[in-house]
Amino acid sequence: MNIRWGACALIATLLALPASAHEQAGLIGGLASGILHPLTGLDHLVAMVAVGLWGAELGAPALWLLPIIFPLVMAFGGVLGVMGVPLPVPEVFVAGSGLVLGLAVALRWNPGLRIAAGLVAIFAVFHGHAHGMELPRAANPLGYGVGFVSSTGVLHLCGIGIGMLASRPGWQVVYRGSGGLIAVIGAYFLMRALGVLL
Amino acid sequence: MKRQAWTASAATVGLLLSLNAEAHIVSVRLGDFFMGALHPMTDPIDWFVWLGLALLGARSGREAARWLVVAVPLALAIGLWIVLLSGRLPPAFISDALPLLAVGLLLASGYRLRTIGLLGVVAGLMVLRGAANAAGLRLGADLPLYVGGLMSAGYVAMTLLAALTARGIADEATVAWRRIGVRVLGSWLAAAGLMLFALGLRG
Repeated sequence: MNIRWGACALIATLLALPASAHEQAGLIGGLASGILHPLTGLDHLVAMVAVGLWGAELGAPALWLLPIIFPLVMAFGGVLGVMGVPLPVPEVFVAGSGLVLGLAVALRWNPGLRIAAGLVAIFAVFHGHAHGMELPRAANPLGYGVGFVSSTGVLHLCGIGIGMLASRPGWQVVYRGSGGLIAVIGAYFLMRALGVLL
Repeated sequence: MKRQAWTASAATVGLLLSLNAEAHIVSVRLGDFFMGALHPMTDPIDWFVWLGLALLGARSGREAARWLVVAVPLALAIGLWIVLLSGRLPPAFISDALPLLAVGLLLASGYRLRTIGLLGVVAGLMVLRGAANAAGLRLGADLPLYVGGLMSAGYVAMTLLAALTARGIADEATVAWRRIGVRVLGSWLAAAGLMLFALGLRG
């Protein structure tokens, strides 16, 4: 009896075709690809979390100005990407953002709101440019745009959440350790972008 | 047993006497009304812009927000009427991206509009959305029904959204994070609008 069931299962497995139930098309397809884009690129992911972490360290008003201004500046970079305006060495800036922001967190660097905002804005343009290049190919441009902007916002929120915990006794190690880890990942991507690592 | 027999008899008589259901009033020429009402529901741009306007109205205060209930349906109808007169639909990057960008920037700025300013914004943006919704008007459709449906959708959506958001964010005692949340949402909408605008310009 068991052999029959086993044989049936084996035949069914061998005859199985890929399921196409969830077709990545239309608004939902665009939204899904937009949400996943910052999450599947580790270089984007760590930099966005670092922005949140740093914002938490800098405190108000940076803490709440950051999630308002960052998407707009990033969208400006996205516009440049959509229009096909080339930026100098974009991979180096995207990878370098992880290293610089990670170090800022690890070393608890507080240069003041203007310098911090300016630095983050420069990186935002490059990150937005990378996302914007994908926009014309998206299943649904509106869904893609909303998806990647909200996904980036959630990553900031994760960073802010970890950063807020750092004010508790004993959590400083986690906060600075997160910054250090981000810096190492950023350095890895930077070396790859510069061709030092394959 | 006797009771069950009665029930069965009543059910049989009911089945024998049944007529065609007229629940779907599409077949009695009200379909164009529902087409007008549902068309904005099928376009996420309308969801976002209407939600944004409701939030903007709520932040401007209850007195100003009440005007949305009248102004939004009227502006939608005017937009549709302009398209019918001119015979041309506006380009998508104007009718889609511009309202999203404008309402997003206004929300992100945290600026509290006066009633007259709010009405000006509503007039501009909803005329554009009304024009965009003219795309759903098929040849031979009943125009008054379609416009009536579109205006009703605007009225119902604005009433519900403005009432909910006014309760949520316009109170003096509202905690700061809700206002920050509204500004963040505005920034996300503006970012999406900006990129759509660029995409439209690129062609």
